[in-house]
Amino acid sequence: MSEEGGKKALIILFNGTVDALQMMASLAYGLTAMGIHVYIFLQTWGVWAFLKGNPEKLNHLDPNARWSETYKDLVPEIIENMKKAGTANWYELLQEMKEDGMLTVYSCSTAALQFGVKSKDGFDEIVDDITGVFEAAQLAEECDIFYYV
Amino acid sequence: MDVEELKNLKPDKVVDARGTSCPGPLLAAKKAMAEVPAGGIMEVLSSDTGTRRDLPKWAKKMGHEFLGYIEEPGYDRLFIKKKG
Repeated sequence: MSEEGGKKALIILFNGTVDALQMMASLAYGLTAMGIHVYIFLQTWGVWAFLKGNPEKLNHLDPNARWSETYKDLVPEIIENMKKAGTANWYELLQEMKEDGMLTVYSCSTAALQFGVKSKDGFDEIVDDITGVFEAAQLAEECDIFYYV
Repeated sequence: MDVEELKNLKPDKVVDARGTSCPGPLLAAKKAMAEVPAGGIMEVLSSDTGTRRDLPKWAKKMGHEFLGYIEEPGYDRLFIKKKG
């Protein structure tokens, strides 16, 4: 499917913990199921989550991955319930959206630099490109739906 | 424009924003554009990777024409023609 002419959604992803990624991917998946093309603009910890090799470190069933510290004590229970429910991994959801042509992922260039990354090569393959604040603002203006995670 | 055509351009204004990260190059370009005559060419030097995508979109939104960029070691030379 193409995003041309259809509705668009923008998710500013600042957070990079497993819990945030998991729910962000669920939201995004719901949008694409409605035929809405999703743009994700990565910032700070969201950038970190998508650096090369890092999605593998953020498995939704790994209690030792980076979870929100405040709710750390609830993580074992959450993981157990996700196992029972057969909850799909956030990254696999994004991959499926990508394969359907419904997902575009951009990284903030300044946030990438914070991790010493200057080119797309430093990112996981799901990331389309590195861009700046003007494009992010333009996407926000053009999109019909906006989330901040 | 292809690289050879870009290399032959004679910019009216050259802005060196190397060493600044986003939104530095955008701010520098926006500020310097005021000094470029209508129809004139501005060259922006940027070491920020995002500028390649960002500056063309800004130029289009402002009604200017983005002519292209030349990749140099460690930075890009980006060319914009100011609206007439």
